[in-house]
Amino acid sequence: MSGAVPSTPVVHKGMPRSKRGAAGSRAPIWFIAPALTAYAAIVLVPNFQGLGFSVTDWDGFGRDWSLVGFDNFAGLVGDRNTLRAVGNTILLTAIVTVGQNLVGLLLALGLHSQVKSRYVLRLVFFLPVVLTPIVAGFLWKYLLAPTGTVNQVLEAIGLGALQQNWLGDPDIAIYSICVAIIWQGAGYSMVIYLAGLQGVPEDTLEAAALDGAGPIRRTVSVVIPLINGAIVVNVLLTLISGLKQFDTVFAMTEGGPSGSTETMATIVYKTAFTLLEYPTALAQGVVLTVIVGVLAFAQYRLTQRKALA
Amino acid sequence: MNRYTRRTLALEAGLILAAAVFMVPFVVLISVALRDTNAPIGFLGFTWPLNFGNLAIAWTESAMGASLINSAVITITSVVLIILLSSMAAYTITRRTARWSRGVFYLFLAGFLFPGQLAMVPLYLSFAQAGLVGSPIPVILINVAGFLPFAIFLYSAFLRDLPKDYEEAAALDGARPSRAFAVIVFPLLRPVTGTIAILCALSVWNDFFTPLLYLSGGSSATAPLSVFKFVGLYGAQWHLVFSALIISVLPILAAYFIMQRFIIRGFASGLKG
Amino acid sequence: MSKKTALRRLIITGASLGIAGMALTGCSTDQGGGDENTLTVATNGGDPMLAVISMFEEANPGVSVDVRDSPENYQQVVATQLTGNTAPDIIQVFPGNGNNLSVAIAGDRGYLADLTGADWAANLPESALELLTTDDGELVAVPMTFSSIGGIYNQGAIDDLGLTPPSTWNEVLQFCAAATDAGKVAYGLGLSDTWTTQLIPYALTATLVYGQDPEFVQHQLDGETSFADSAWRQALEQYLEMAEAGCFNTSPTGTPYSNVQQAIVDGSTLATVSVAAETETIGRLGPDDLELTFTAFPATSNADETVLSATTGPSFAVNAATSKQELAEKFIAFLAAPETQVAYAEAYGDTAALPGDLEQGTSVSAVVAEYVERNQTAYWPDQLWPTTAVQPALFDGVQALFSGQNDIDGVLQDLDDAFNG
Repeated sequence: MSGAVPSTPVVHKGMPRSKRGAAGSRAPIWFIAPALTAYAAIVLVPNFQGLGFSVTDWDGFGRDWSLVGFDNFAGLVGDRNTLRAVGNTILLTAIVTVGQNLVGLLLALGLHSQVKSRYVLRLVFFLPVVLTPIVAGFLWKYLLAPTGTVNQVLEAIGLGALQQNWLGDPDIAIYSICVAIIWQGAGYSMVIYLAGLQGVPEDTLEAAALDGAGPIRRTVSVVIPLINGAIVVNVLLTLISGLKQFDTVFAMTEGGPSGSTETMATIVYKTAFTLLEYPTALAQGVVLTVIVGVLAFAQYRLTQRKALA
Repeated sequence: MNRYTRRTLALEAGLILAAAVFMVPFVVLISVALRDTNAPIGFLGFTWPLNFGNLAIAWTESAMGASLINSAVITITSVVLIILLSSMAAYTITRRTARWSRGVFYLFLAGFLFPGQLAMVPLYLSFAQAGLVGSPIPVILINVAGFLPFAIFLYSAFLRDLPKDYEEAAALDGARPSRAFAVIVFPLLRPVTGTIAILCALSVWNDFFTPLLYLSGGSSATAPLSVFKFVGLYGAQWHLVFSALIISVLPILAAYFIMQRFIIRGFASGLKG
Repeated sequence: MSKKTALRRLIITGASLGIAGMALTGCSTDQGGGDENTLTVATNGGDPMLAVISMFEEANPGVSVDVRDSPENYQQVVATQLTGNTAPDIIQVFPGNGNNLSVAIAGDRGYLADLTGADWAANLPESALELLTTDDGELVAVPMTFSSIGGIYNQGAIDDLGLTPPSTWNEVLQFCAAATDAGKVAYGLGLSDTWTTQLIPYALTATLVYGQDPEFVQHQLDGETSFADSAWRQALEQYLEMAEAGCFNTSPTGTPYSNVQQAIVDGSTLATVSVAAETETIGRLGPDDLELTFTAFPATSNADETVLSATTGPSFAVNAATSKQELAEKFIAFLAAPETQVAYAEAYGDTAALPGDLEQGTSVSAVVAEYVERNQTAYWPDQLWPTTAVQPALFDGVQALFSGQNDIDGVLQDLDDAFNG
């Protein structure tokens, strides 16, 4: 993967680059060692072991295994359930990535201001992040039940006609899940955008204001380019977590009704622990890894190019 | 620019409205937690008067005290290790311009890709062989290593935006590079460090499956384990379950509130692009 | 705070916490080997076990029992622990086939100790013996309950309407009509929690399929019959007939089961079809005077034909790798004792598997005893299904029927495909 990497900096915002040969390039190499050791031992090695087992018939439980080559992968091609899960995953990821970043960025921009309640509001919008995703999922399941809070509120404000079977209707369920995920994740994105906004110099904004730029133009043409680092980070993170989404979906619908909200991650789980086809699950896991890798890399290259423009 | 104008007031009103909508699920959570099971249920599920006794029952019945301490030890140790390891690694990765440093960066990024299921069993077998199952060490190590890609990624993005003038000045004064990092660079990274600390603390604190697998039922249960054990024992008694849940997230909320001021204090004044 | 101290303080905090972590390790690395006199027990929902261990500890001074409960992810956690040789001494297992911790799978892999020849084994009914024995003929677990599926009625609520639990299929439909007239839901259905999808089909096929032909699964394996060619079709038709007759709450596919439990407690729903242990779970949610009645769920117009869907429930096995074999077998013998069995079943809200001559207090046990007496019980079919794909196909199928994504022909076809691998 690293062969295809360009030698331009990841995030570049037009700052003059420092001369080489100063303190920077003498940064101690051993600084990398502890992180790399821990990462290699706990993440890389076991994952590659798992990857290796995807070409065997080991069931993750027994003591014997033998090589079966790519049989586990062959079974996935054209498998109806796997294909549907891939489609759902991409739909969910697209909605969540756009929605969560939009909401998170708007909240951060709004709260990076003189608003008096900003400290309290930052806490409020961060509250959902604090819940375990499984718990947030259960909470939303409760809210979205046919007689749950959402339908009750709709009824109370005279919009009873808009009541839905939010999680039981196969055409709606996945969108309901997206709302829950965005609700939970917006505060997460907001925090990263806020950290990015801390780095935007006040006088740049003041200069833009003096030039007569309105708040919207000021945001779009001055602020956004300056927080590109935070944007790249946030988009990549939501993209990846969307593609690997498991907890919220599982808590809310278990992939139902009848598979209509199944994602790649839930199908890997079910294949492994319900159907007990561990080798197939590993193969699905590898496919998921590849999809995540390709999309994340594509997105990364894309935003990076935009950052240079 | 910094005055509170009519426009700021409108913004404030809009944000408060949004916050109210955001809070609805929490209001329901609290209304269920403080519900009197024998009273008629009112709007948004509240019963009146609020029954704070549920919190007390949940606290004693779930034996949450010890779990909160375990969770705190695991979380703080993990966060400190992550910040140390990732800030150091990210510093060298971004400041070194050699090809390999980019390679190392992408190697760490690759960690984002793996779904948890691939490594679970092999990792467990290794820790079991090392006799570490039942101790918090695997939980800490797994959390630290698992969070490194995110932390290094975030630190790198911000380090690349950070001007090198100060380090270079320090180098000219004859400071060793490791000292320049500790004294000059690390303090400048405060907003990112704060962000990483809180997001990392959160994911370690809420992690359910790793402690379940490695600490299952043992004496060193964590807060989420206690909540779920409680769910097992009290089934659909949602008022007690939600009470336990509220107790279990309070420490992390407090941590965020403290950390927030730390984050917001921002880049040291005087440092401007 | 000077800049210099920030990092230093961080390092000091880290180091001291690291030491604290180590100290914590020292006193908690007790999995696997551990204390000679402590027996560890893995449970999936540990309440009933907690109700009986004190009896064991009193009878065996110096011995303590450590219950390790995983209400979530139980199979995943304990299967991984078995693979890593770190599992508790006693393990809750599932009779028959179906998951990694079922007798057929964990037992055949040699993870469970052979208990053949234990004193209590002689008292086991034939049906339980079959489900708890591996292919190699080793008996590996002691059953705790004889679990059944039937209608659970809020007695107070149906008394108010002058209704009684129906005993024939027509009465079921009349019961639904009467409930609807009174503005109540007759049978709560929470299909959003997938495990509940199978309850009514099991209750109906007990009478329609498995009661008629106890060897039905074998005949399926022999290719003599199939889901599509059997009364499974009728069972699914009757399931949908109930829906059309307005028996259920609106939008069952989006309804969580916990809403159903709550609705039964407050009387807005009169009943549900569920496992008998739910009498205890739902009962605990409500006030002390909440009275729940359990009955077999009828499928035909003749009340005498009704067969109760009942089978061997939670069972416990000895981890083959335990270092405390003797103590573990002593504990298993304790679990098999009638006093333990009855106390466990009571806490579980169900009927004991091996009650001996002891009187059982629960209302459920009286109903079950009646059907056992008449020999009108039928096992839960999933314990005998040859592949793990059939049960998920049933879950998906029922949800598809209720959300209009499939019809009965399609669902039966999927079930047959899953059955035949």
